[in-house]
Amino acid sequence: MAATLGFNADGELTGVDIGGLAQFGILAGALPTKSQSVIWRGVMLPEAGDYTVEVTAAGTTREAVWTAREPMAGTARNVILFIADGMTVPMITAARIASRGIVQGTLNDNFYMDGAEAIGLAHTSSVDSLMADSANTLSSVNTGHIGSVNSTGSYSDTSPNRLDDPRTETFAEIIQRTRGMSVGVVTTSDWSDATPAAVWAHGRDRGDANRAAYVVQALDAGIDVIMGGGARRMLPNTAEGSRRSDDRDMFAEFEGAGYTIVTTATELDAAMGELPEQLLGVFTPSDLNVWLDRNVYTDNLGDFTDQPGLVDMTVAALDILNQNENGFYLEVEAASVDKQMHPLDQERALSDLIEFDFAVGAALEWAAENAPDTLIIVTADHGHGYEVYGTVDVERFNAATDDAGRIAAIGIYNGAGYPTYTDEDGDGFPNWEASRVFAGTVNNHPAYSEDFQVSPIPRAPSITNESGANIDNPDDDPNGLPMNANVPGGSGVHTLQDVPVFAFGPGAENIMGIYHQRDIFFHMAAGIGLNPAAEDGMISVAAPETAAAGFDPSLLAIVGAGLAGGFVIGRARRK
Amino acid sequence: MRSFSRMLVALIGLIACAACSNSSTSIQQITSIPPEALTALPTASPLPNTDVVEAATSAPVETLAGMAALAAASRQTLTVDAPTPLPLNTQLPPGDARVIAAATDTAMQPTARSIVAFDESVVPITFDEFYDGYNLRAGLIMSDKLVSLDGRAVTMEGYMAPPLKAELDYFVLTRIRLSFCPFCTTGADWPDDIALVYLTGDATGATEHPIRVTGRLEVGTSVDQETGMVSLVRIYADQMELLS
Repeated sequence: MAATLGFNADGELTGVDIGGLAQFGILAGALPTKSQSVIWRGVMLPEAGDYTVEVTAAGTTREAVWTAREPMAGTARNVILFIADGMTVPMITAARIASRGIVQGTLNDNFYMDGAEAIGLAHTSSVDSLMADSANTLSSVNTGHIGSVNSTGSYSDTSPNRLDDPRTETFAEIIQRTRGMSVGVVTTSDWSDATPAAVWAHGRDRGDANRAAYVVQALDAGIDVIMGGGARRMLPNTAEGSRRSDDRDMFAEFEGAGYTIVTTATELDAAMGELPEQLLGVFTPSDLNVWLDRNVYTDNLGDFTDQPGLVDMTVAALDILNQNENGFYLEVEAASVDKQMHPLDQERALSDLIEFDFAVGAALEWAAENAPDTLIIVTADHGHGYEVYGTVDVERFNAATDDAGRIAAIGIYNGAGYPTYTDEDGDGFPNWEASRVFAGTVNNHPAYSEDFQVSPIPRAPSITNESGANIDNPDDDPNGLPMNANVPGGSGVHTLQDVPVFAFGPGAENIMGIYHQRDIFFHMAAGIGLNPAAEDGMISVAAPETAAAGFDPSLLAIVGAGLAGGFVIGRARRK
Repeated sequence: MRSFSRMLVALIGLIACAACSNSSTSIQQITSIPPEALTALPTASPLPNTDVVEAATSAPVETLAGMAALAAASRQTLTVDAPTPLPLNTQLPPGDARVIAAATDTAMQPTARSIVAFDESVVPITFDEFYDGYNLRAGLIMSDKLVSLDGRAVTMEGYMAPPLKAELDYFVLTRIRLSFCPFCTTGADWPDDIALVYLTGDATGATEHPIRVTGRLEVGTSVDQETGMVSLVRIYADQMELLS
């Protein structure tokens, strides 16, 4: 089936043939921009299959194919999606060794995620770029649609409003609508950040203004459990430190909607005595502190000394969500694997990856005891270029008086031996202050210095000088090896690679293979046997314009972006 | 009284960062102040102390143009009771953003729980002394020292964040050197402990070295009319000194 649109050189619509896309309703007009927007509402896609839309503008034709898939049978009732932001296989390898220890080539123990019943590899990509960010990658996972960098739950258009772009319905919205399932998000970031927001949010920009809107969208969407940081995006603009542009007190609005609100780990514990139906836990103004600062370098916590960890938040969310006999979907994010790889801080990133694996372990144990019919998927949104290539003799490195001496302190191949991290208290987290440590670096970086040793304060490897250039921060690793910049900007950036996918429980078998990460959406749908066509008249990915207000019969929108060609924004519904 | 629409800081990131692509600008505003002179400085701001709430002698100003005109014409205290017009990023004559910012301070009357008395005519303050904490349900808690210094001459040290563009009336004073250019990066976030420094002259230079700023402190939320930059703490600087 195919649809064809034609535009002239002025961007005016000249011809429409929607062929097999029968039953269209309204053609809506132009946007106040150079490009033209054509929106069909009331289109029905009669069956699963490929739908092609061709847009011709001034002699250039672009084509987009949208596939509505057949539903699959599945027996899981619940889905837990674990995301370690920026996690890669080399990071898992390093964190596992640091956590469990290795003797004569043999690990003392495995990670919890190592026990996966199925493993896959997922490509990451964007509509508009080879590279990806957390917004559009987790949007792919949550909607089945590939989006543009910074966008979530939408196809980016050219209209000035960054919140009105054509929407794709999220997995959470579909299961709320068709099954009345509960939905939760747990994160160590500001909870309006890209990875958690992909569960419910719709917009093309993950920046500040949209984040304040995503907080409102979460309330409208009725996300049942929310835990993370981000108080400053909930405070009205009359409060000092607010990052909202309006005077809405979102704490008060969530409270008014019936949410139990907690702001410390102690309050969270107390609230769990009698399980609330809906819970909002906001524990810091911005992101939560990382495990290493919460547990070792506690001077970095400031006023926020009573933050829960990812394990406690995960188990609390599961207990609350499991009250719904229709099942639940919980997304759990270890945000600071990514947030600490950006400033090249290997110890803070790997510690949060270890904590993440403990959260996976806690969920596995919880599911075994409480809900064996739970599909658990563990993956990343995108990668970072971190690898270990040897070890560093710390005493020798620090005693060196020149770079040649520092380089000579790095052991490679058989000269690497083993790191000497210890774990005296047996909590699974190493003491990073060791005599021989990982020679681990991120392969893209600003100008900076690297001494491979844990920093008592969060790293700022690069600073911005008076002309806006990023230069080595003289206060960070002053005795380190100088590294020349190979990226613009002041931090490491995301890298291109397939990310690992691990799965446990009913439906795990679907995870095997190599695919785009948008397929994880379909794996989750298959896991619970989601059949929206039978359950609520859906073929596949429905996208109401306003999810919270009930299903909108708008079905297919096509945006022709002027001479740049067009792309399809598809939605389907079968009555 | 707080009728201002708050323009979110990161929106500024959408503006091209001129300073990030140009090479360097000369430092035009720096003067060296001998330490003994600091204690003798009067509160030398040429602007009126705008924290004195006067009877509204001028009608509420509805538009940015009107505010700028009034500011330029009268250089008097304005009583502003209108929403900040958006979008910002307008081109104001040099110095007017400072005048408008000073005028909007009239709307802000932070109250100290316990007024702190100071012996010095120019009081040193550090970023660590700005806030007593952060109530997650209510926001930052300004310290009694900070609030008590509202309208007083202060001196404080810090770093200049990379400026948005060379000819801005202000720069951002930060506790530590930033590892990023918040003006250049969409989505980058300013730390809470910053101060906007409005200069008396019509040009700012830039430096990566620590600086000391002396001038009148103003406390309370204000939106810079030229860029939309939101600030809680401003210094209307008379002097800036390079420390290196």
